[in-house]
Amino acid sequence: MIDVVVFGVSAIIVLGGALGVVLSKNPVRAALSLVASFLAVAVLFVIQQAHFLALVQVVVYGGAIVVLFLFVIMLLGVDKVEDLDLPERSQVVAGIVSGLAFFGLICAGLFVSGPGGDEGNVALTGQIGRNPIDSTDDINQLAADIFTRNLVPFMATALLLTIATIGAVVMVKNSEADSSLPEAEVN
Amino acid sequence: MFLNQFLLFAAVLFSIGVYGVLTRRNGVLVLMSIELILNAVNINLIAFAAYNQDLSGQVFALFIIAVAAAEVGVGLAIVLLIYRNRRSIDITEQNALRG
Amino acid sequence: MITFQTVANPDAFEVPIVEWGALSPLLIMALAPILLVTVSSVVPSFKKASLPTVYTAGAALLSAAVTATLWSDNRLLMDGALTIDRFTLVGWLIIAVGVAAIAMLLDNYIVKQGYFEQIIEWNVLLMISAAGGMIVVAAQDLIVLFVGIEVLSIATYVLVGLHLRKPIAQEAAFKYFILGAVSSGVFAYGIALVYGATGSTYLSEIATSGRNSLGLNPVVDSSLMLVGIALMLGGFAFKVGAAPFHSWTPDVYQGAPTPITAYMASAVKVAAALGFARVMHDAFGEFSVDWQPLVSVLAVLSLVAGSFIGLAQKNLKRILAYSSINHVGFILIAIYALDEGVEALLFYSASYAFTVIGSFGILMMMTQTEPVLAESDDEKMVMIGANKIRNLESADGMTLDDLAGASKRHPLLAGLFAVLLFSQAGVPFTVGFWAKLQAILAAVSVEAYLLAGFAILAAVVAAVLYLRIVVAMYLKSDDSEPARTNYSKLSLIAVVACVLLTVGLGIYPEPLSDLVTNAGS
Repeated sequence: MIDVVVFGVSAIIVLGGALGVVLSKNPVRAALSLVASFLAVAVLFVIQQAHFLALVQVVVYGGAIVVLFLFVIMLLGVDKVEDLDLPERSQVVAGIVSGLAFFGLICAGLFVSGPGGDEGNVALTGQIGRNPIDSTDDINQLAADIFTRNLVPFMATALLLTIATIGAVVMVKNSEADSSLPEAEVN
Repeated sequence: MFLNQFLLFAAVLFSIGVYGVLTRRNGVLVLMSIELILNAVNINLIAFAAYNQDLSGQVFALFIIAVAAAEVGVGLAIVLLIYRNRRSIDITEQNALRG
Repeated sequence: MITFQTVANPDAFEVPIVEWGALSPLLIMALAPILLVTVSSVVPSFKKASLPTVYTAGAALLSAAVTATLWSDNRLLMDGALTIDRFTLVGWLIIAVGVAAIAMLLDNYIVKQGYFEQIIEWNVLLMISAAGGMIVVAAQDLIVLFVGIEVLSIATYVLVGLHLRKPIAQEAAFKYFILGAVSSGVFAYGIALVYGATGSTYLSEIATSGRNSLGLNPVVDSSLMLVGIALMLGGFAFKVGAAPFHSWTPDVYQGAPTPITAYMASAVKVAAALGFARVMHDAFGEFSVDWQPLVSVLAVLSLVAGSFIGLAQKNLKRILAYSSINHVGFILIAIYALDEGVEALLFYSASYAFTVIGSFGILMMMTQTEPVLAESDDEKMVMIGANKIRNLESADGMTLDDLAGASKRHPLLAGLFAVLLFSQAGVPFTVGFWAKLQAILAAVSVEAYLLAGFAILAAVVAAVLYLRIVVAMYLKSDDSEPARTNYSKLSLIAVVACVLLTVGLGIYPEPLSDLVTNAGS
């Protein structure tokens, strides 16, 4: 029972935070809604036995990524000048239509039994066992899995982080040429 | 707990993210909406991992978090570069390329 | 309690055997850039003239040469995460040779645009991105595939925006980034649903999952699986630029630095298409009744959009972008044909890759004139350093009208360009003819006559597209004098090699068709 209550409360926080991100006018507020959303997602991970991932979610998302967002927002100074108006009507229509289209498509996958009948669709009948939470093991097992079966993506992730580092540095590095560039010339 | 409650919930989060990507005009907030989409994917993966009692889902979620971090780094660098050149991060002003 | 069954005894797990020999083409491509960035930061004199370019091209060609030595290999590596077979090796060869050619084009571009300071970063990002592409081509596991696609595309986002002084390059980068990130999200969502339906991320296990003792497969027709496949298909269609997910292609191709456009149109597209084909064949082969109609719709739309919308374009880079969408249509036809189309797919990818690299390369070389002092507020003039103003590459804004007289200004380049355009149009005695023929025959062999008909129609319409460019170069001549050439030898070598391959394989296609045979098994 407690699981269901935890799920309900976290789900409301996640969706509330998500709505805050997409609707709030102030970028800082949006970033803080994003934190709420991420932390509640971490709670959802815990009730599904993914303890290590919950930790990573809090540290990487709630910590590093949101701080990066806030840092850039402050750097650009867009918290003061809220000059970005509300979205144009055409954007809202496109957003609602695409959002609903994706939602409908996924729901079709979740609730329609399909030509093969109910038997094959785990989403219709699946139940996640409610068991006492035991966290002794999952880091060990994740580590074992990453260094055996998933060694290749692990190494590919190293390449990815190299790219992100080099890419971010080379793009943002303030070279002499850029600083001497008058604004009028660019536009 | 039923599996489908998580799946339905993730679908809602995903759709909110898609809506955000299409409606936000501030480049930074578009990136935040993309993070919502990736979180929806992670919720799905964790739910399936718990249901199948198989670790691949959790491992994949871990990689998605790493990918998201790299993506945010590069995305914010592009936004900063645009801001430096144009003094604006309104993406609806990014319309020089038309055919 | 939930116990995860993956590893019986976590204290004593065994790291998979790394088969260095078979992985070496990939390792060369992944480690050469790390070495380059390290050495050049310790030894500044390494950043001299064309040295980084020669290094990159050399590493890529070495990778290609090592790939060729593995020719008869056919096995799984790294606990089944990657596979080495003819399909993988042809893909690796295309990517590695493509990177070598693009590095040679970049050499010219970077110096002429005043980015010599960043020559190391351009080359490093190019090589790492290509390593990601090689992972995509070899992936046997959806997790590997996803991370590989991200390495491939995130590096490309950066490369597109790396022309730091050209705002449209950043606009293109941002557009590409946002759409690319969303499509990655959609793709990952699809993988999650497929994983949920089958309980595995390995292609081979997905293919055999859900079979009960009677050999029946309830998973095959579960809607969860079908929606997962549809979402993955959408993500892939975006990555290869198939209509109706093509809208980013013309914008990004136009805004990106021209050598990077060539890279996106060749290696990136081929890597994504081959990864796409691998997943569809190996994992979803049994579901072909479900996804084949979707792929055929994508193919027809790409053929039609690429040729007809392309006709309405004036800007040359956009015309070539639409022509690449048209080519994707043929590639999708080959994917549609499943086993019958594997050879056509590889043949088309290979011939298309070097034809398109050559075309964009020539476009870049034609528009690179001598630096001139700016006299007006022309938008092509941009300041570099302290008040030094020079004429930037203007290929981004080049239209058909600007080509008038090109045959007199650049007689050599115009001739080479015409050959490559004829190849793209599928004129006999060029490699493009055999490629298109094979794709159409593949469609006929699976009795997809309608698809074959559309392909022929689109090929005819697209031929008009290419002829317009040739006509603009040769018939609308004015009194232009031969212009002073301003491109490096390396670029010319790359482009001439592309043309020689086009004509040589057009007259005598056996070497390439021998390469791709038996790839399906």
